[in-house]
Amino acid sequence: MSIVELKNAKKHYALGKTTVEAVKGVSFEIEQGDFISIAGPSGSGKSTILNLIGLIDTATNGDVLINGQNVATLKDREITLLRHETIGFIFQSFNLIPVLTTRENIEFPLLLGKNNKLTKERKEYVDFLIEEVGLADRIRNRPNELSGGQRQRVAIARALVTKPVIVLADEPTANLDSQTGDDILKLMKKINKDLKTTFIFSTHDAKIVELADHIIRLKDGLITENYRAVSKTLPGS
Amino acid sequence: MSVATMALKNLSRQKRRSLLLGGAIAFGLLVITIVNGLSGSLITSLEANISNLIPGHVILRGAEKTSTGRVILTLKESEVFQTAVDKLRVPYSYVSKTTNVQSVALVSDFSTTYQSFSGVNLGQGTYLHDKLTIVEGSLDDFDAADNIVISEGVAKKLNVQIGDRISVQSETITGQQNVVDFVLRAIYKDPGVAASLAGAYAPLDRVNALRDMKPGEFTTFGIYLKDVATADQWGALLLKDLQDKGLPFFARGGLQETQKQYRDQTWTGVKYSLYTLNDILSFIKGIFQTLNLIAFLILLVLFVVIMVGITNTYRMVVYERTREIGTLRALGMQRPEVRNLFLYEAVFLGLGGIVVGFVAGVFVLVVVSWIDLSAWKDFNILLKDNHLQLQVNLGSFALNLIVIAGLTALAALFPARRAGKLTPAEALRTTN
Ligand SMILES: Nc1ncnc2c1ncn2[C@@H]1O[C@H](COP(=O)(O)OP(=O)(O)OP(=O)(O)O)[C@@H](O)[C@H]1O
Ligand SMILES: [Mg+2]
Repeated sequence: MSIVELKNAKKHYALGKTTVEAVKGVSFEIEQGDFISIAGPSGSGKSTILNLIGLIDTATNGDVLINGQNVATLKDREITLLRHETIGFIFQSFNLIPVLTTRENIEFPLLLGKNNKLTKERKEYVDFLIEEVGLADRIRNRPNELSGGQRQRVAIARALVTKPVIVLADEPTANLDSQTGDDILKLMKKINKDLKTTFIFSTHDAKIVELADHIIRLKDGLITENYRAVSKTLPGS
Repeated sequence: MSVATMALKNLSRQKRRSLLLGGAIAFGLLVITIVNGLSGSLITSLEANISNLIPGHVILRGAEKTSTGRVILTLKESEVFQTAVDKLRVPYSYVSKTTNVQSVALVSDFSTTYQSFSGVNLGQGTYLHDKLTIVEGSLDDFDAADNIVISEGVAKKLNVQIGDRISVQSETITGQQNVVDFVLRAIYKDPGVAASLAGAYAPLDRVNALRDMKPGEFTTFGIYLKDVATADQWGALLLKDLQDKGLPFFARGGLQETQKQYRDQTWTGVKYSLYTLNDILSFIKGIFQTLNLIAFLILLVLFVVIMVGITNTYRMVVYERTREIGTLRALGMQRPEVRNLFLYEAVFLGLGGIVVGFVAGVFVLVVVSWIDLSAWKDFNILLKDNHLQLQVNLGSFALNLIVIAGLTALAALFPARRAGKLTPAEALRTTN
């Protein structure tokens, strides 16, 4: 079973008297463990689709299924719980909590939701993630004492701390220089391999797209291409 | 980390803004603490000083109208009162029987002064024996002879020493002039009130002789309670009990009122009146209560302004942190938690202001209570040993704490609820 499925999903925004059709009816499925790129020019609907998958926004029409569950019928409280338990977020502009240190930012999602105790096991996982993103010497710093790349590493660790099934990243490298951006993507790819976490990221950078196993191309709110990268799925070739 | 801890951390984000709002709240509380503390201390000192001047906290008097229409203040016996006091188990420390004369002329070889004069029992275990601070002479065997005790101030005015003769001139109850000679046996420390209020005391029967009253008679039966604050309560109970026994009473009121009733009413025979320390002080207390009320109203206006400030500030804070709210929601924070995050922040701000204001207020009161106000003679009656008595009411502090914390929460509720209602999509999209 696919972990994410969109069936003829549409999203319309009322803008004054007119309606903007940001997503005009898209259908696709996403498999567990994939490294997926949603690509397309500015305004093509990438962020809108990520918001639908991330339960940040609701579809005007059509269905969004997470782990086979249709989210249309859920109340805000249940949606928030589902989001907390299944989805991690990496934002373009990092969105760290300014008053919290690196470690506190990473731990923060663990203190929300039903099970909000910081057990020894969870603390060890935080330690592991801090090592994994290479911030062991920055755990006591606040976000304003970190570089952009370091901030995005904190965000990656934060997105992973609840062991989500899916991590969504809307243009995670757009605010970084190309070298740092490459490093961040390599880190995401490494974690995708090590932890089998599904990553869905949007980009309009053609180079980055090539790292993906599964590519969905958009234009004007419609899918133009949806394919699995052959070289990745057939390691022998 | 709980929502509350995070709210506390957020409070430090806009230090200037927090300081300004917290400072305004602190200022309000400073004023409340000082006004309450001062008026409370003034009233307490007033009560303590006045109760040294009047013959009890609950006072019973009797009046008799003669066939000629003259009103004579007199009580022939006190058994009925003492029985009632014992039956009701009134918690008292002293009872007294006194003959009070409002004004007599005290004449020495050098000068004359007009004082209130009381015939009392000054023996061991009486109120005055315990409360008067004797600076010269003594009260031993006082009740046996023509002894008189006066205050330091009066002694100075009359220029008399222990053992000197003082003549007391007064009207008898029937209106004749009379003079009795006394010997100065003791001088007591000025009670910190205007000298004219510091009365002279002599044995009951000698004063009765001056007034042409029979031995054993008196004008006033006074009860000194263990707790002055219960005077009204016990006064009312006693009055009811005595009325139920069939004793005729004048309507309850202050001194002036009773005087008026003696004159105006068409009554005959014997009639009683009961009044308490509070009846005497009600006028002055009323002034303080009015002052407190005015201070309270000014503060109310101040707090309305502060509340508007809090609402506006938190509207701005929510606006500034919109994207952060979106992030918190995306990470799994529920709507009520987001709302509480802002509510807690405001309440912590309020609590901080309250505590700082209270501590500052107490500090001011402590400093003021150190100041020697002996130069402030006319208001001695409001002081204790020439100082303002420090008085801090923790009960009203607790009340202020709850009310102000509640008000800040209320003021922040509207923006906090808006923060909770933001959808993650719109919150994350904002560009500020
Ligand atoms: N809240 C909104 N109200 C009105 N129109 C919107 C809103 N959000 C998005 N749109 C419109 O929907 C379309 C798709 O927007 P979206 O943000 O998904 O594009 P995108 O592919 O992420 O673009 P970019 O690469 O610039 O981030 C755009 O035309 C945009 O103007
Ligand atoms: Mg976008």
